[in-house]
Amino acid sequence: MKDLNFTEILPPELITEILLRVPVKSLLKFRSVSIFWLTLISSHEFIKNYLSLSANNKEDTHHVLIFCQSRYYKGNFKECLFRSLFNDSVTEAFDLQYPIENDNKLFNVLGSCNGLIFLAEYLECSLLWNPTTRMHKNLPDIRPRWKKYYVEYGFGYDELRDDYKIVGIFYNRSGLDDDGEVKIYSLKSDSWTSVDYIGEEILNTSDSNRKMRFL
Amino acid sequence: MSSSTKFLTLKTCDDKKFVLDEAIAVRSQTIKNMVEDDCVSNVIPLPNVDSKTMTKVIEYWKKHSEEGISKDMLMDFDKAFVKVHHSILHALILAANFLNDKEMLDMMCQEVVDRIKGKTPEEIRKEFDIKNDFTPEEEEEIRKENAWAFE
Repeated sequence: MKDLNFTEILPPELITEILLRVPVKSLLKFRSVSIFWLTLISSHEFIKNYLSLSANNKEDTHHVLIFCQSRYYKGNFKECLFRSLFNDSVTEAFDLQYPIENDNKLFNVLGSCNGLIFLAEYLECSLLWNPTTRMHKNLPDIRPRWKKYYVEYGFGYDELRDDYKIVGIFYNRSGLDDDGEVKIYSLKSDSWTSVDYIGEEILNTSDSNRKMRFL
Repeated sequence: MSSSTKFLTLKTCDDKKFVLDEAIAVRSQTIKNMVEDDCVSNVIPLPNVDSKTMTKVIEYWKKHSEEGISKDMLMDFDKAFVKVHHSILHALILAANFLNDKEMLDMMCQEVVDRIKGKTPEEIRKEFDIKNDFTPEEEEEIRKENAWAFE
């Protein structure tokens, strides 16, 4: 007979407490344990707590993303642990699956924030990629006013609205005028909206917290 | 022993009594709050903890309150302490949670994580006594979404 005292079932808050410490790869596997576990692991609150716990992790587990480009126009991503670059004599870098199948497109890394990478091919087809879960999301098309334009992007986290945002500033390439157009993408609404262009360069996302800031 | 040492009596759910130095017992935030709020009469009831589990908790508290104990010795102790059957581990997690001892809870949770992270969903269900409430099609679908994690 089982000792009843020792067959305790853990309540949801303690299951959460445990799962918050489980590595991502295992978490993805555990999504298929039960409907409750799937709901828990996919919940917004869990993901936020997971992120803040791993960001405050005392052990340095930051990763470095390496973009390798061969002569034949084909890119490839590798990753390694940040600390191994300093502490180990030999650093092992692991291959990451390229986020999209199409080899003809060459993506540039335009920003990163909380483990999310913003990739764009020049002028078209941009996407957000989470190398840890290997998931990606294609962003909706942007249609700037001009056919030929320059663009500058910034990617960051909007703490106030708990949303990831990309700011794109487009400049007319053919004309001589100093006109520009500003569009902001919100991950929550999955859409681009236009905001007034006030001239000058207004964007800086290089602050240490990777939070978006307008100068 | 100095005359200022105060003792508390803790009573577990199976009516066993434990007499413990207050300075040690207040590792539990729950007990600490009761002492500070002056809610402590003669005996502190612990309705959620049984005596077997409480014995282990006290063993942990005493070791971690020892004067002059080295970090290495504590690490060795902790390592040996968490090597228990998973049902005892679960009971200790419940107790640490009820007693509100964050340090102990962290350690026990980390031990569970180390044990389960390499396991399959089937093994997890067995470990936590969870019923699979997906249809086979649903389960297959979810697995496909993150097929690489099963490699």
